[in-house]
Amino acid sequence: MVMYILRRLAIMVPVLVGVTIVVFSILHLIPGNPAQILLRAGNPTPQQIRNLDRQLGLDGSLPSQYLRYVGQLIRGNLGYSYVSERTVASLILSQLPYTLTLTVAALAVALLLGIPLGAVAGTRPGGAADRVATGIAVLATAVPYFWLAILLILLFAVVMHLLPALGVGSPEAIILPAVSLGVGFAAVIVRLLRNNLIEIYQEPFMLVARSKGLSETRLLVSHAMRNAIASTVTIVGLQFGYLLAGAVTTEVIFGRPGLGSLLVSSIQEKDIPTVQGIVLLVAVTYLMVNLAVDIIHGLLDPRVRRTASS
Amino acid sequence: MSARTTAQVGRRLRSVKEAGKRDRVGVFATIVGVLLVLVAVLAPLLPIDNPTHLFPIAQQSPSLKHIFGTDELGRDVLSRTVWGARQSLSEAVLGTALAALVGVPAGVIAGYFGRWSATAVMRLTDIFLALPGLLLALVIVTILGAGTTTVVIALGISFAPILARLAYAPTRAIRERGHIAAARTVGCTRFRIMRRHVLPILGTELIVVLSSTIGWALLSATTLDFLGFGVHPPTPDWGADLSGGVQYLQTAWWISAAPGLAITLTILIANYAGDFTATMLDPLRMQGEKDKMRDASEMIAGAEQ
Repeated sequence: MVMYILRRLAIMVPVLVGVTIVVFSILHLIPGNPAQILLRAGNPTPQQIRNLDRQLGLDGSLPSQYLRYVGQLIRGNLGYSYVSERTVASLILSQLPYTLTLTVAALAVALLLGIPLGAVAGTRPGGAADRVATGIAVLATAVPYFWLAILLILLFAVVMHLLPALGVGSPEAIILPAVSLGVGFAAVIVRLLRNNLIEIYQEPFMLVARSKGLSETRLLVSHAMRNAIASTVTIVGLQFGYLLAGAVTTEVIFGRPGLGSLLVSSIQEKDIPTVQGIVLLVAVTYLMVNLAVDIIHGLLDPRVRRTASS
Repeated sequence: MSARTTAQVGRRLRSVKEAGKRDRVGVFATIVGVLLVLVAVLAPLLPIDNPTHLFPIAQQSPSLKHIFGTDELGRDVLSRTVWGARQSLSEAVLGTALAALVGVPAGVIAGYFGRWSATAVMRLTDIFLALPGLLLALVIVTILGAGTTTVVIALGISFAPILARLAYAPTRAIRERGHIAAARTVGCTRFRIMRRHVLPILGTELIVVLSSTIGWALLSATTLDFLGFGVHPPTPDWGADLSGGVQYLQTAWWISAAPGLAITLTILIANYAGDFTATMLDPLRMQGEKDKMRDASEMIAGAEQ
């Protein structure tokens, strides 16, 4: 198991380095000099630009700049925002709770909808329940989540006045954003769980369990689901990062604060360090979740540990 | 036409009919898809209002004169949805083409040569895939600034790693088949083998993948336009028009409804039409392969959600 974890880590390191290179290059691929962007209002002299370059760590060769950048990252320093007089880290920390609440709530919606529907569909493929569940899943993957968000606002806030449409003023305000973000993800879970269950129902051990005289419920809960959940967990983990990305649009539509809203406004205002910080955070979170999922998967299923070396 | 080819054509037609009987949804999706493309291409010839003409009454509810109503500035929503198809579809199709041009050769080369080229391509895709879907597109937007060219490039770069992955695995499997060894034995160059003996086998399945990729690329494109990083007003575009209507939901729901519905329908069509087209081209396509491709398109869907 230790070897397995070490191997996973070894695969992750080059990817992590690659991600930092990509994020580092954002600043250098943008046309124009950051110092000029920063000082654009004041009609700066070349001397001022040089001074600011030194302050921002933009002097010296590219490799040396990159090493300095990584050195700062390791110390948790993500730089200073161009727009507000704050560190990027503090900006991100102030917005992170909103986004985490949203993604966790959306994940809950996805699991609560996806697992029962997937289980029903997978137990009797081709049946009426399966057709309904699969149909909903197909529709749910195709509906753009920003349009779904609008439909939900229209129905529950404008027509029925049941739930607040915008902001984070009340605890119920999370419901519509979480549903609109979670439904597409639920659809993915339904299809995966269904396919997994169909396969598992054909395994010999299911025949054995059935001939022991287990009830269909028992069969589903303690034999089929147990196996199907393991691979579903993997996908849930893999997709968590995508949920973070989906939060961008959801936050903008519902007028919620959070990393997505911060990212969009930072792009509009050319606040590059903040963009870099958010992108890096999401990528690292995504890689960490992947690692955690791999490890959990390895713990649950010894076969994975052996085959994953290739 | 010789007798033999007539017989072949007959067989082909019969198998297409068979495939159509088995997959009615696919036939329907393909027909609607063709219509949609026609509408987008023929928009200038259709008897609809100018999409940027301002009618005196803004936010007019749907009526005989304006079937989908008028928007917040008094423009005809039907005409904007039709013209928006041109804009949004071409962004999605060009983005997918760019992604395929970069991703598929990379995947095929990695799958065929293996060793260090596979490692290089796979690690590179790992890096890009660590930036989930939209986020990678937003990075490109940050670098290039807003605009439609940016949207196409952003789509190309964010979908290329996925297509590379999807081309890689089947290429590795095809490489092991007997006819590749035979081709190598008679002295075909590696480039020729890849082009003549690997790509055609890959091709049918790629149609399915590319078709659904167009659907998901449309979702990404409209998302970028929705966030204001794509077209400049007053260009009609599904994503931009949808976001324009958001503020007026309470008073004029129809402004956002039409483009939203159009996006949803197109994604659905893209998913079903590709599957049907592939079956039509290759009636012997195995159900197992179909399921695999469906899972693959799920992967793309997930990547964009």
